[in-house]
Amino acid sequence: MLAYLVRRLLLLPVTLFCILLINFALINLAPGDPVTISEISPEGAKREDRSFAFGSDERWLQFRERYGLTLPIFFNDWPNLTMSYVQLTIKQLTNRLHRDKAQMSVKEYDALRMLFGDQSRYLMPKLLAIVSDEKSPTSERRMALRFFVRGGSLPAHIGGTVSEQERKINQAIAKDNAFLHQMLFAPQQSQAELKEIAIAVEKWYSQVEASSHFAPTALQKISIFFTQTRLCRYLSRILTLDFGTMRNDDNKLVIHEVTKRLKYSLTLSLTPLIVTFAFCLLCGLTMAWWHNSWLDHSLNLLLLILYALPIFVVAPWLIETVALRHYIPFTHTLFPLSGFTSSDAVYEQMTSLQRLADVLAHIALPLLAIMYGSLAANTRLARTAALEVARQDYVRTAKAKGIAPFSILLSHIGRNASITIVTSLASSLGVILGGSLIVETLFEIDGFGKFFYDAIVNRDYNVILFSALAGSALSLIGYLLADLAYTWLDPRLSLEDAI
Amino acid sequence: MISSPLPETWHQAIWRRFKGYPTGMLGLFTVFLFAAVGIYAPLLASSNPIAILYDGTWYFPLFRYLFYGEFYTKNIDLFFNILMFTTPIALLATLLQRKHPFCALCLAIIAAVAQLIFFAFVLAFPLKSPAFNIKNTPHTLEQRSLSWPSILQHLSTYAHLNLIIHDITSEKQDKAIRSEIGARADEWLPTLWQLKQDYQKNSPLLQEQRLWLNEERKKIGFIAMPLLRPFHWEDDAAGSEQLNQRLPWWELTRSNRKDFVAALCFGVRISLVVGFLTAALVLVLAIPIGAIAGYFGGMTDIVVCRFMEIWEAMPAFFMLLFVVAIAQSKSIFLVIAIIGLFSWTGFARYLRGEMLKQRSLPYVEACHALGLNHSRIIFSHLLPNAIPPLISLIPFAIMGAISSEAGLSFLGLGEEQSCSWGILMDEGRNSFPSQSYLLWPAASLLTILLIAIALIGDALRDAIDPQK
Repeated sequence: MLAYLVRRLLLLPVTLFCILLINFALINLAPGDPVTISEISPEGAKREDRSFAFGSDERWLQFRERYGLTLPIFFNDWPNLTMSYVQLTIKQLTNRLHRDKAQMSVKEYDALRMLFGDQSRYLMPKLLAIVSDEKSPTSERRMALRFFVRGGSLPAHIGGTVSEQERKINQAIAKDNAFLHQMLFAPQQSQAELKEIAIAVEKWYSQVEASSHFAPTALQKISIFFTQTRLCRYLSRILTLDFGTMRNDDNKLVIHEVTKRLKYSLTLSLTPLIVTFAFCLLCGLTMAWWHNSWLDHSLNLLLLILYALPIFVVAPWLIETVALRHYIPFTHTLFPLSGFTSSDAVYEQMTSLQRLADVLAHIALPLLAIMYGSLAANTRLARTAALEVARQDYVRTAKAKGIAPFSILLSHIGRNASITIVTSLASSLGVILGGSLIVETLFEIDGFGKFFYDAIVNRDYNVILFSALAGSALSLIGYLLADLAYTWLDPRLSLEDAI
Repeated sequence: MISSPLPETWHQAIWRRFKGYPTGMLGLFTVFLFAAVGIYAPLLASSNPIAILYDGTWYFPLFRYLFYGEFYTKNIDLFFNILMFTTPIALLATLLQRKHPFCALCLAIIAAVAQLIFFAFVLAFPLKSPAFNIKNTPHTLEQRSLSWPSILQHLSTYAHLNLIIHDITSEKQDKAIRSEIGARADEWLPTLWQLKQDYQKNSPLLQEQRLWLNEERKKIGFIAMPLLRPFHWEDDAAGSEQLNQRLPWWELTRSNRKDFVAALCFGVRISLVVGFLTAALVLVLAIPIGAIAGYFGGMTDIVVCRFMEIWEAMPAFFMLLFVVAIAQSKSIFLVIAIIGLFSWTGFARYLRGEMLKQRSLPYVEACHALGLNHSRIIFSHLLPNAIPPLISLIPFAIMGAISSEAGLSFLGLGEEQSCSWGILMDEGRNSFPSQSYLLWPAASLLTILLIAIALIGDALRDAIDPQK
């Protein structure tokens, strides 16, 4: 048992790692940028907007720097790019022409500009050579200068917690960046001015060259090849459990926000498990007891229909008929429309008992909406399981021994049928969380599901990433629990050789 | 010679047992009804009349526009429009199956091939607009003048008919709405007819058009409009929220001012496509993977099982949201692909178990002894025996797919400008509960369809495996 548990726990990180890889692949290989929003207007025109998610180009760049989106995906060979490539690209960007002299479209130009901008950090010496090369045309030198500035400006540390040392680094970076951006101020630099700028920039470069690795050695190149990639950044962020901050508030950590909401979501996903278990077993055994009677058939049909009802039909129906219009008898003022508790001002005044009643009244409808589906499915499962067990030899033996039918139903059939239910329920932990997403959105309960949904609507990259991971981890734990419950309830099964 | 009746085949036995379940038959009947509504939706709701007698000549605008890609802008609609003609052939094939199996097979193949060829043809060579009279269209801008007779010249008869019919239907709609809400109609946003009248006041050209329309409307002898609504689901049908609150449900318009009932009819098509394509995708993925894992066993089996475990651990609905949010193209086919990708493991697991059971049976050993290669054993001996139990899972997979698609659309992540029931419900939800009348029709239809499919699935499972 212990060996199995250990093996299972060892497998958990492997599985989680694979899920990480799949998540990573989805983010990076899917067309489009995770932070750019594109939508089709009612007139049919396609609109791409990154300013929706980020106030300005500057912030957008900052975001990409922070999450390593400016880096290549798997390996980084940018320090090895040749001088001729740099010259050619600068030429292309200045004249907006393809290699075959065809005019570039805006989209292609943007893509090349972005790629070259991302690469510029690794091309600093080459760019500097072009800037100070007096033979090349002024426009190209100016273009090279722009990319030199882009490559030279490093991202600062941002977030709620910045240490003293980081603050010092930030100050240095800010000084450098201010200097570099100053170089760009005059858009129409003359030859002489450009020469002055080139000298100033060269001086700056010779100062920072030693501390910043703008011209890496062969060894550094190898380390850059592997470490300065999106994959590496992504994994290191996950391994250090750095899930970043909320998009619209740098002082709110994602993990903190999630844990704050977890109590709502756990209430909404664990309570159904317990209620479902009790109800399923009761109902399933009843149906198996009166097998093939009218009760069995009608309940079976009813449960099938319940199973087929989509949650996004049932939840609005409950809101409208029960909470809002009181069409169902005895529902006057009993069920509030939304939220997890009454407003804070009212809630603070209540006694503990009143608070409990308040919460119960608030979550009754959401719970019902979350539960009915798994209730129906699992009751049918319990019925099948009970009928299956009733055919076993040991039940026949028990009957032959003369044990009362009711006690056979409880202790022989019931216990063994419950194994199936527990397994099914435990492995649905992740699913329940997904199901509560719609319910939380509709009932305006500020839980994990609604948090995630809002993140998707607002393109909050960090939260989306974290939620997908947390959801996966939860369902993995669910599977583990299911296996453990299986061994605990069914001693016949040896998991030692099951794996 | 005594001719004995042929023994019952497996399919016939299933069908015989299936017929014994009234709930299953009810479900099947309902699904067929929905399918019929979906396939023949243009006959129920379209702005083109089925037949019209105009100036002594018969015209059939509905059929003239049936394959025109700018009237039916979604490819799904074009596909179903072709299906309107191939479905009867397929039905005939089913009827003939008992008595003339060969004929039936030929007909079925003809129907399928014709469907695919015509669809490819319509996509590859888009039809030209029936509305333009190319011959009379002046080539240079100077020759064009904005007088009504000159405009008429380069419009074809179909364009004339469109104008006239639009005039008639908008007047009818206006009358219907007025009779429904009485004199206060003018207070709320105007109907199409009202808008037209307003524009005419300031435009001499439109006044000229009015005179012409009045003249032409007298020439129409007979008109057979689509059965339910005189609006195509992509057409502007005016209307407003205030108006909606006082209208019966068949006169409603969506929040983008398009006809509601027409969208409901065409929405069946989306659900059908989602259901069938997802099921197909799931089978295509699950059958090879499950078969290989189960047949070879050992290391292959372990690797495949581990992979499936990892794949299952990803919460499907979260991943759906995640992918749709990242991929950013809210296409229905992307949604189908994702739903398919995240729901094949159940099938593969089942098939693997079945293959493991079958491969130790004597007939497989006999195959090995005969020296057959692996692919032959898998495809012609094992799979035909292992797949049948899988069939009972298909209705539930279809159900899950339809419901997932509607759920995604309901959360605002479906294809924009679509008539999927999920989108219709989303529109109802956006102003919930004040506008919930937009929510319930689509919600009830969806629920009925899902329940019907579940009933079929349940009956089918009992029919395939009568022991349970």
